[in-house]
Amino acid sequence: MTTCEEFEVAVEMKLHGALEAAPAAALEQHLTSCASCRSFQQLATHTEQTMNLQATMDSNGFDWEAMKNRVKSAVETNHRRTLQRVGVLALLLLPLMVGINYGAPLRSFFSLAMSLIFIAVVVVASSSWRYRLIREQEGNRGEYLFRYRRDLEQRISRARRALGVSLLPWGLLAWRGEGIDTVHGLSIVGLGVVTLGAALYIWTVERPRWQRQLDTLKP
Amino acid sequence: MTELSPYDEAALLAQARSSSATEREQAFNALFTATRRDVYALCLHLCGNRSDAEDAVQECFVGVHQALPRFRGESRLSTWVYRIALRSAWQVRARHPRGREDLEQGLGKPSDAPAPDDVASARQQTRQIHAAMQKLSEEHRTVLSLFAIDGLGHKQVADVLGIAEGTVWSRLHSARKRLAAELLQAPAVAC
Repeated sequence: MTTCEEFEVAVEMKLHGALEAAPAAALEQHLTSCASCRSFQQLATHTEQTMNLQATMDSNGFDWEAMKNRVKSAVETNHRRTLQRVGVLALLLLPLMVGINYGAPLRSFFSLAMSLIFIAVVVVASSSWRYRLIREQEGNRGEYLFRYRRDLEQRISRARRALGVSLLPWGLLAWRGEGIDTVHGLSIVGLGVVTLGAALYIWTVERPRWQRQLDTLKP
Repeated sequence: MTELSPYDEAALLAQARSSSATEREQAFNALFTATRRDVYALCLHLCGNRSDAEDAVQECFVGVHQALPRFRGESRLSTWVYRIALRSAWQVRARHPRGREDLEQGLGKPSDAPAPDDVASARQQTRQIHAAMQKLSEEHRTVLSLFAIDGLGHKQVADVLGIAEGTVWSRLHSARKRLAAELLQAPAVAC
């Protein structure tokens, strides 16, 4: 150790009990002759003690029971919302599957595809509507940025799932045991090509763009 | 501070993964009691005011409650909780970049009775340190806040931040220098 900067690092290590005996002795010797390092040591000790004391004082008067209740209530609300979403999805999906196909079997590819497209449109529209509402709230740019960041994170995670989902039409084709010689089989292959292409496009073009946006927006 | 030994953490984790809802709840309550003060201190230093710190603590423990049964035990349980606390505090801060209340109201809340001079002076210094902290970068504020938690060693700080142990010291040193520079610019602080 030779420079004051290295001694200052040693001051931090000593303050947190990570300095061994020999460097500690060298530091003590240096501190007797260096006013600048002594001043740094005083500042480090003082700021740390003050921060620690303040947090202790503040948390002593804190109502932890109320906080625990707030946490539990938030957890319950989250559970309720998840159940509501599942319920709404099921309610949407079932009548759509039966209704669109005029009572054809539920596993009908067309009714399933139409239902999923409808739900996707509803989800996209409701999310755009929510962002518009947030944007309109005056002086709430922080909230908007927070939501936008979360939305980007969700999109990136969905892009991963989209790759898996794009394999579903091929699975459906195998399950139904149809070839491309039937109208159904041909349309499933068409859908498979389109979804796989879309998923690959999202993965290679959109996902890196969202990631870049997210990196620039991180706090 | 109620510290969790690695043995306590293993027992807690086993309880958290139990199929019984009561046991899972007990595990969460024990973890909440053991880490709440440190989580609050961390959020308070990072957010700079009490309201935001409370929101961050709430978000942190909601996250802990939901993810605890899925925690894979790749790090210490307390390290994992501190990581969630950091993320929650950053998110709350992103929502309220300038803070929702003045430091005067949020920190060192004066009581109705007149405070003695030394207490008033301590409050003044605390406010100055917090004001200076809020001018630092996220990286610097985080490392200073973690080291200010009593009993948190440099190894665990490195683990929470996901950086090498050697890097922790250099980051702490540069953060402290930056804090000193900010304090020098602030009006009269006695160290």
